[in-house]
Amino acid sequence: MMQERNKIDWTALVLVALYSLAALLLVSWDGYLYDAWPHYDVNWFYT
Amino acid sequence: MNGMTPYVDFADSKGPLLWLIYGVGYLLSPHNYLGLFWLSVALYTFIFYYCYKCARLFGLGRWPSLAVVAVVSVFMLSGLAHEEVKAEDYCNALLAPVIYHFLQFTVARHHSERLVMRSALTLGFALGASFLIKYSCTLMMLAWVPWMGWVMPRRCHCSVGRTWLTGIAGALLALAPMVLVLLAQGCLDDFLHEYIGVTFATFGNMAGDSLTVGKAWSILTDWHMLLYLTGLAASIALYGLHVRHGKWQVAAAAVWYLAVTLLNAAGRPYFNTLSTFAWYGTPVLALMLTGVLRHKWTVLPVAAATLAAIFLTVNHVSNITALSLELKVQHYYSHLMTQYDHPRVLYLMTHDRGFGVQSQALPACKYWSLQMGFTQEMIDDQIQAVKQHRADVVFVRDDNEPMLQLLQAEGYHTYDFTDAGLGEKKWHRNLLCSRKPLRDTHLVPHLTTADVALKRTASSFDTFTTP
Repeated sequence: MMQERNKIDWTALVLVALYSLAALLLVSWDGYLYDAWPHYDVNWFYT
Repeated sequence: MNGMTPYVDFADSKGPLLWLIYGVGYLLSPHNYLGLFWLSVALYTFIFYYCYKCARLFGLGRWPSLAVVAVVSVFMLSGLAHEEVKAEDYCNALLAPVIYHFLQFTVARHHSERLVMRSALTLGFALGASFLIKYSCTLMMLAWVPWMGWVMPRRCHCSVGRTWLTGIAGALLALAPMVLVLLAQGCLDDFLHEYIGVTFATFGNMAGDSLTVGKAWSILTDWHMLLYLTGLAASIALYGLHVRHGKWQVAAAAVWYLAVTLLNAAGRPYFNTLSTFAWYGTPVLALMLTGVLRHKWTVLPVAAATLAAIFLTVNHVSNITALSLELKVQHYYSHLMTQYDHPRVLYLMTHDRGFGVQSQALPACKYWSLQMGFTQEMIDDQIQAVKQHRADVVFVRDDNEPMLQLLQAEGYHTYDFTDAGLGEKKWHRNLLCSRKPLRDTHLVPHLTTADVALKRTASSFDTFTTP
């Protein structure tokens, strides 16, 4: 097994941060994908 | 913030550390959720970086490890298991270093006293800090105590007593500063009464749709779910084959996680609490991918499959109509509330919908928004706030006749967003009742795509004209 590296891998950290930003934007934006795929029709806002 | 004392002037079932985190979000961006969005990005950067570190422990290089992060993100952010960034997500961040140390011990075989003490300190801190966020998550994290407080020190020939003392020191490190703050505010007793006593009482009052065998079967046989469960089950088997220590703990936790997913999909969202265990998926997924990702050419297809998986599963619980309508109504009601300076808001026998965020509304009374499993004491407090006219703005469901009559008798003016052309009257909805008459009730918000994505303030307000 690979030895543990205590130093921060800055390249990986920056890439992970960019990925987190993209993923959370996607999740925030999910409403706009609604018609792109079969889904359950929920009306949670009203209930 | 705003001169109010927590657990005295306002209360909720969550802990003070979560309020502090949300308070930072409020300071970053007082009129919308953008500050919280950036905090969420920082939170998930932390969580995913630990996923990356975990993957490296399995012997993977940088790029394959990043691909593992992408796959794990499906299990963390998929609509099947995740509604939005909540208290549980912050508890997941506390769990991340704990699982990393667990894998250092089981996978990377770092059997040293230093690791044992560091693990105990990390777990103690996680238990203490999560107690200040949501203590049901703390109860679930206790599952790690036997492993890190007994198995690890015994296998490393360390003192169990010293390990426990280190763990307790970690917990105190998290708890002591907040206790001092609450003492300085003079609300430690109220905190204990509200957070422990009252919240515990609400658990007993909670009621949800019962999960029948037929309902469970239909959820389990949904193809989204079958795909999800098969992938995780296969990964557990692989973990068990490759790792000698700790396989049963991870397998049991993964089964627990599957049960949680099932309950979430069954429409019992308060079981989200248990999604803290989403983290258990990380080691098993990392191991599953170890064999596949050793070849560089496999990284891109895995990343593409991951994005496709997020794309396919986010729609499981989302609804464009509901999302954009909720934001429009939030903006519409908020715009009306700006006619008050820091309006005092009350959600009368209903739950907070964030209508007061843009107008920087403040709680009208202690139980300003109804909690799940509410008690009679909470309802009485709300009714008193209406009778004493302490609430500038009251939100109430359109079918709550007794409360609407009370508000009318107390001279409140009622406004309905459907009268401005938003949404439909056929569904039950929250009405706004104002202590004074409001103007410009015909203006509706115009939201751009970016407004919705970033949950920010409306770009402009349009005049609504009746067709």
